[in-house]
Amino acid sequence: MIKKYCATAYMCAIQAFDGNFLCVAAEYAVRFLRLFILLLVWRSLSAGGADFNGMMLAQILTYMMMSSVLHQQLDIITPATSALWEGSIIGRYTRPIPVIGSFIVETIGRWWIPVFLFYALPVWLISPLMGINPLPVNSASGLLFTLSLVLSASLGFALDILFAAFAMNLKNGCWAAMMIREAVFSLFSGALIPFEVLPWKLGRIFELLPFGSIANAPLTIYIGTGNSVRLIALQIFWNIVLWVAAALIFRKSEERMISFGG
Amino acid sequence: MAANFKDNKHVQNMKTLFRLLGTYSKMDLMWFLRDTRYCLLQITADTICAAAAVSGVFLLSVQFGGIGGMNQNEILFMLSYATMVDGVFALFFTSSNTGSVSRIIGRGQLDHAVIQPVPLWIQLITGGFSPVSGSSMLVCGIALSVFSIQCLRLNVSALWVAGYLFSVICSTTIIVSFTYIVSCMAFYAPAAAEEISEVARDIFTSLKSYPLGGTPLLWQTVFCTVIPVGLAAWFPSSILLSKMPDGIFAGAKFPELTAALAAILLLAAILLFKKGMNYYAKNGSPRYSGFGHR
Repeated sequence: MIKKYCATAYMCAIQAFDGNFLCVAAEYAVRFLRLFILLLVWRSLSAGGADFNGMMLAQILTYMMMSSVLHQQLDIITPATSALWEGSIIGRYTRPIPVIGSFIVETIGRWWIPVFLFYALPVWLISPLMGINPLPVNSASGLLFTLSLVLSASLGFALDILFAAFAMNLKNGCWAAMMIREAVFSLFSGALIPFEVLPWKLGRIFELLPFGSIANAPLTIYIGTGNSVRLIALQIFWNIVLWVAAALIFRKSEERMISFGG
Repeated sequence: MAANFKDNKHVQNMKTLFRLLGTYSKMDLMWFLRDTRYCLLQITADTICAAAAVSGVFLLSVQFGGIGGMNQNEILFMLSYATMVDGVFALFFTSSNTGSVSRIIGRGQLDHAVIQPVPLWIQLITGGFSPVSGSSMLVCGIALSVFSIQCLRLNVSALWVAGYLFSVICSTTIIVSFTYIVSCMAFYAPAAAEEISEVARDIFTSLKSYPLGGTPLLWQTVFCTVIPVGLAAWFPSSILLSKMPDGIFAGAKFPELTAALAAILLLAAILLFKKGMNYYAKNGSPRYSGFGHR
């Protein structure tokens, strides 16, 4: 059973650079550049005497670095919507593994493994050279972070499957809907700015939303500023709600699936 | 004399340019009328993307009362400028992949363009023009600019407005030129670089909203020359607000530096594209084979 999933993930992992090395390498470079500029901006704010609502600059830098390193796990986009757009989704129905399972292992193979090896790990290793502490605040936080990250990834997959179901109903409009999702995700998830430093106490509202459980929860646990038990409980709650909704809505939407190819 | 003027190649090209802009406007309007639901969805998506793109940095500026030597209202002005630039880009270069030219090159679709009785540059400028479906971001940019100018209580003169519009055009030219320069790789590696223009554009999309004023001078210089993200919003808006920090750009009053760099990048893009076209003319596209295209 597991072998089928591993084989799919392996095939996707070795395809990641197929004829596409330039673009993939350039994407990593742009991602690093974004991290670099964000670090410069946060350092300039600190130099200007900004008050980070109890957070220290070192914690913010670690937060931003981990957000960049774990980008693929914190902003999960499976091939579901693009496969629907391209018409290649039909191929998944002929494979000997469930369609949703296929999307999950394809994402792990195509994105998680190559990005971990060629972007995340090198950046994590060189982060001390940029004056960033790459380690969690303590070993307990590290363990809780691991659990939170697993829940976060699970939640990300549920949201993506829900979104794919929504896209099935939009037919040709799925690309526009995907643009909206990508645009709002980084702000609402806390991947761009820690909720602690948002004005008007917006962070408290965002933290309760399912997006907030994806990036903000594991990252604040990692740097030791979040209430771990509360954040993980919230993640479990959203996982139950969204996975039930995703399974039901996706099954229902499959009946309405139309793809013109793109 | 009049006949000579009419027959002039440049005059003919200008006529063709405006005729094609009219044709693409009509086609875009027809799409809106025929497929209103999806067109409105696209317009809504663009508007939300515009709001999302500026909200992160704006929220930070609200929290800290400004960033990088700019106060909250000045940051809002810079973000409105960035939205204007995105708006002009979307208006002219989003449709038909004219802003993602590596796709056209990599897919061997230049062949479709070069057999047309219209110069290629006219096709690339007009092919993406979408004044109905592609104008929402520009409208957001204009509204945000007017609002931020009111907040700043700027003494706006006709010359200042001209400088503002000129700067927006220069910044858009920089983004287009940089994207085309990078996209020229697709002439030599069509499959590997087919999507490279998206990555080149992403540099500006994701980075131009950050104010660089508080960063070290070395990095300000790098981000205004080698990787010109600073020229897409921070640098020109700082000049327009007379807020240039100390350093090599101190004392800049008019967008001459933005214009000079836009001209250099545009020239480089034209030269590299021509060089690439020569290579393409000799080698063609490997996407065409004995059994068809792609």
